[in-house]
Amino acid sequence: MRVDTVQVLCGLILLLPLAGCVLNGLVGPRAGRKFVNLAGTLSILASFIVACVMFGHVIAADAAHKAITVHMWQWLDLGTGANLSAGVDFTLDPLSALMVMVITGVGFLIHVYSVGYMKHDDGVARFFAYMNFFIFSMLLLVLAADLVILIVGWALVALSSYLLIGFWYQRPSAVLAARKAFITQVIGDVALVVAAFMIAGKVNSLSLPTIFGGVGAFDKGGAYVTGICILLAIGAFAKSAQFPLHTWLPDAMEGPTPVSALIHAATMVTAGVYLIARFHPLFDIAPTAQLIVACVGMGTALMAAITALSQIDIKRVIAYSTMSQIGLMIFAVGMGAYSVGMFHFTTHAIFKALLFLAAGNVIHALGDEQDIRLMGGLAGKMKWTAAIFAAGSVSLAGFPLVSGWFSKEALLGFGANGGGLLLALYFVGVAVNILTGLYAFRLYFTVFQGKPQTARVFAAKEAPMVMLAPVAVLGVGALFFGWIEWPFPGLWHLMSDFLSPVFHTAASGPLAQEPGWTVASLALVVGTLASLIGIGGAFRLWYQHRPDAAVVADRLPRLVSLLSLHKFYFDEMYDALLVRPLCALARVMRKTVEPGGMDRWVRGTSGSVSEMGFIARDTETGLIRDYAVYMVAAAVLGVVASALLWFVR
Amino acid sequence: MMALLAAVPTLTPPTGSDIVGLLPEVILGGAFVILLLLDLITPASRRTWLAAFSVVAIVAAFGTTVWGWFDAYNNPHVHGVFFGAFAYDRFGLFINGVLLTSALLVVVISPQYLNRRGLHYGEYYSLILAATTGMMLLAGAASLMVIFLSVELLSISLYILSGFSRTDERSQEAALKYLLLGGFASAFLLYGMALVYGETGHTQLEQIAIAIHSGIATVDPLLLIGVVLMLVGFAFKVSAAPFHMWTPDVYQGAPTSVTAFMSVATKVAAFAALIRVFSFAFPDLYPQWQTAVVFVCILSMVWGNLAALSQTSLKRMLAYSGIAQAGYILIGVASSPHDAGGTIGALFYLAAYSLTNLGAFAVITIMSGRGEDLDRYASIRGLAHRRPYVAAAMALFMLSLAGFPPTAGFFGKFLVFSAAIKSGLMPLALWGIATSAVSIFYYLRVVLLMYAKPDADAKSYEWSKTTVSGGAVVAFTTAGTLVFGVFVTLLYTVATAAQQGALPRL
Amino acid sequence: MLDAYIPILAFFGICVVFAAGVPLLSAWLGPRKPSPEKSMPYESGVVPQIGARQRFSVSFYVTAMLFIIFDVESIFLFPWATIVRQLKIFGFVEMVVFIATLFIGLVYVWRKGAFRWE
Repeated sequence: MRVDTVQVLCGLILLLPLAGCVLNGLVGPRAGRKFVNLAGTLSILASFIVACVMFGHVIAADAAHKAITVHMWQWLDLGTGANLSAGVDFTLDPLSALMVMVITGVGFLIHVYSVGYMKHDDGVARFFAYMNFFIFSMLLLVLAADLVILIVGWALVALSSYLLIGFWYQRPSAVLAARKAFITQVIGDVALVVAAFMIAGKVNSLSLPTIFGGVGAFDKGGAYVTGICILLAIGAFAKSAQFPLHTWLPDAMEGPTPVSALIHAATMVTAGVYLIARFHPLFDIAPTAQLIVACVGMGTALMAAITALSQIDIKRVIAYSTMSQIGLMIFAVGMGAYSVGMFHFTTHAIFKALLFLAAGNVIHALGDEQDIRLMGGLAGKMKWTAAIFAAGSVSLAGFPLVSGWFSKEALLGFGANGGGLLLALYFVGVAVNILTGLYAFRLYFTVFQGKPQTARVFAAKEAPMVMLAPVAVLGVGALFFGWIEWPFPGLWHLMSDFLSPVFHTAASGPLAQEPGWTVASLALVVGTLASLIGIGGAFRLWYQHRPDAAVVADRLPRLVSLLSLHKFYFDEMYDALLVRPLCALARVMRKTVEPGGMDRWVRGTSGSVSEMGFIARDTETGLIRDYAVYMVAAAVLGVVASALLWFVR
Repeated sequence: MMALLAAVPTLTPPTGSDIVGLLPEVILGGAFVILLLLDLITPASRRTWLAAFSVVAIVAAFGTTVWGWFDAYNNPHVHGVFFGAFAYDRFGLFINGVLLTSALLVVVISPQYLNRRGLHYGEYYSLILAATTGMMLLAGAASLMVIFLSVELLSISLYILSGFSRTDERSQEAALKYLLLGGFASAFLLYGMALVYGETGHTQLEQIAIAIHSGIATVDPLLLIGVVLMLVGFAFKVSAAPFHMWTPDVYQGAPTSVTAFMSVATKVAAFAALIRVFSFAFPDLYPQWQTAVVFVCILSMVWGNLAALSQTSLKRMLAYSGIAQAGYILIGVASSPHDAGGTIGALFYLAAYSLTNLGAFAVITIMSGRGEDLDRYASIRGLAHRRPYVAAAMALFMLSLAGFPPTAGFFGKFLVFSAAIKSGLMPLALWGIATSAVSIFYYLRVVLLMYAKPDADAKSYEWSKTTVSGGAVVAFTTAGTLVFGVFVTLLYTVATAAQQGALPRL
Repeated sequence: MLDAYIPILAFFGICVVFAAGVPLLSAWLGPRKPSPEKSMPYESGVVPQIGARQRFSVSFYVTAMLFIIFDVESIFLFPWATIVRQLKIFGFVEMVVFIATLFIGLVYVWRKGAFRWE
């Protein structure tokens, strides 16, 4: 790969969405809907084409030169003493190429879909400006070869997420959700920045290739590097909605559905997975941190899967399933199975975007109805959507030979191969498989099968072509994309082979090794059976019987159903532990400390400052003779002082 | 008779390379004279042509400046032209670039404004060119004589320009004040020069520096008094406290386009001379002049910022802000002989300040309506609702003046503060930071006013329509403020080269 | 070294003595017989019509300034003329530029109507 080519490609792929954003933001509101639709989607299509060229370059490069870092310009020199500088540098390697492909590819389909979805919204120019801006920020994040640039991208995606969740700013709930998401993510940002400080303190550089080249500076398994990795992981957890920073994601469903598909399913929330994969040289020498990450990932996967079972909002169910699936990815990258983690990221991006968009079709057809208890029987009205949704569901649930199956089983196979704690986590994963089958098909059956529950269902119409075609494209991917990688050693491993130049440069081996034939087949059979049990259970429960929710809850242990229904009481807990005490403190501050103490100081200071301002102003008499006197006085003072100083010396 | 002739030393005529070193100034000065004649034959309705001619001249001078930037670099042995009276170096050319850009922007916004105010006379452009020529000469002056002559050339042009509104009493008052006090300051400057000449026996900065450095001229009170008096003269021109009193009155009284030019270009040129004289010719007197500069610097920051707080006139507020900004630039000067970053920071600051401040004044100029100038705070209330782009640009300029990242103003402050810290002037940096905190208050007040809801009952100010030329100037300054704030190294590299190329070198 | 300046000091002294001495002498020696006619301003023998303190047309000042400018020009021309042969072609060109500049200024004020006495 030639440096200048890559520079041009990186520049193009970033500038195109940014140009779309600027056009839509400045010109869009006046230029009309057609212009906005074109500018919004074509800019992403163009960057997708650039992404394909990038991808081709990476594939065509010979094995030793798959990764290249280009320097665009020096952004900031933090002083000669510290020798720290931040350059606008970009890395093009298999990992970033894959991310770029997913972001622009899925992003483009969702942009096309949005044309239909936002057809009746007045703020469409604003919408596309934000969406394009998100694509720009996300690309900046994944292409960054410098920690500062990475953090900038990291913060900008949080900003675009904030703007898009709160897109319908007239709804108080949307504004609150946006605020919650942003605040939670800022916690992660802080952790990331502290990690950056710690890294710079040891390696004395902020450039990622230099950092990864200098991992020898860290003690293997030492407290320092473990601390860095835990901080990085906290950043990743906040972004990827992992325990305990996960509560913002379900609320984020307040945003328009394409936003949920693009940002809160396919791309931004998986940035945490990317971050850990990108920093794998550090994680590889911090096994404690890896174990913590794996535990958190699997724990979140289980918790979210349980919660998803009892949710009644179609988008929230999918949101919890997203959380659960990202938990699996985090588990994978936590135990060092980076390639399969990224593989699951890719398949998940496809089938989860699909599920959201198909759910968007449903919501659109029912006039913004999101309660699944009021749906049912939609398969007759919306054949295509139902079929595609089913494809997404089988992929999610891990039905054999469908995309999701390949990636999820591969990922669990790695867990089965690890000993001790990892094996225990693997069994949790099997339980998650059962739950996934249950909630995925609970959703499908309640929404699309059975009898229509409201009159609105009868009036539902199939979505227009512009909203169907992108979903159909995703549907094909959701069924067949996974075939590029088989969960057995020695078989097709296109994804791992593609990513291997990135992950095999690690200083030491990851925790989990690729399973052999025996373990792989055993794990595969167990995992597949679990998934099928889940799907079968859902079929019996929600297709054949369609029971009352209360009846199902009665058969389960009371604690489980309560936890599920109340989302493990996290919102209540944060409310009691953080929000209320802080509000109480704020009230005390407001009522007593502020007026009595601070106000007096502040008013006193600002008052005396402005008082001095008036004095200063009053010296301006406007009379030339006064001014001349001031000048002479000051000059005489200077002359006398300099003469005096000389004599004293 | 023969004896008298023999007393005349043989005179070497200047060579072609001397003229080359002065080429931008020669072009602009020539254009100034030609413009006077063109004005005689141009019909009154076609005076915009004169502006166009000035633009051409300025662009030509800018072109030669850019060419000179590389030419001066290729001739490392050049020690000034005209026998050392004028420095043909990157330092001067950097300042030339800033000055020419400012002049260009001012000329572009002027015709419409002058037409609205009924002041569109051809002399305006001649005088702008004459003042710019004087400023460029000042930027390159390497001899006390040339410094004084160019100060006079730029001052006299500005005296007339500030009184350009012949029927406006305020403008007349401003001109008279500026003239009298300026003459006063020139006297200080000249007296200081005379003392320095008397002590060292030279008028050329390089010779003076050598004389002081080698101990030929002893450091005695008379020399120090000379230096202090020169500082007074320069401090008046850069409007640093306590020699700033003229600034608000003159800025407010002068026509706004003139104020825009004056507030930026005069400061840049005078600072160039100040830095060249103090940092490069008097580095050996650093311990002596440092105290005086620090005193002026702190006083400017405190006084300028405090007085700006209680203003209700935009132009006066910007005048005081300019005084405060002079204080910040002086931080760079005060740390310059100790740390090269001081000079670099001051140069960066000057360029950033010119763009930003010119942008702010350009907004006031192009938004001014037919009646009175857009000057009272109440007049800009609600501007953002009617002219969103212009208001956004103005907000950006205010943020840049207050020193918010990622604007050029932030990095200007950053560079001078860090230079001060590096050269052990920590208290100065702290003063700077504390006073800029105060400054945020009055800069943001402008932003708040612009974005506030317009008064429903009060009669709103009639803002002018944004024209292509005005919009272009605002867009250019906005872009500059942002570009130099994001791609800091662009300007930083150029400023560093200017610092490294500065004459005289010991 | 300061010896060279003694004549100048003497010159200053003579100036002061002369300037102060003549009025003193006249006050001391001259007879004083004041009358209203004698106290009147001298207007070339004509009886003054109006007070002397009044506004003058600005044209007076313009003319005076122009006179001074060309007066100064001639002052520069004299020393130049003494060494014009030594300065060769450069000196000639310099003076041409100088006079041309002044000439352009003259054309300018002329066209602007500074000589029109209205």
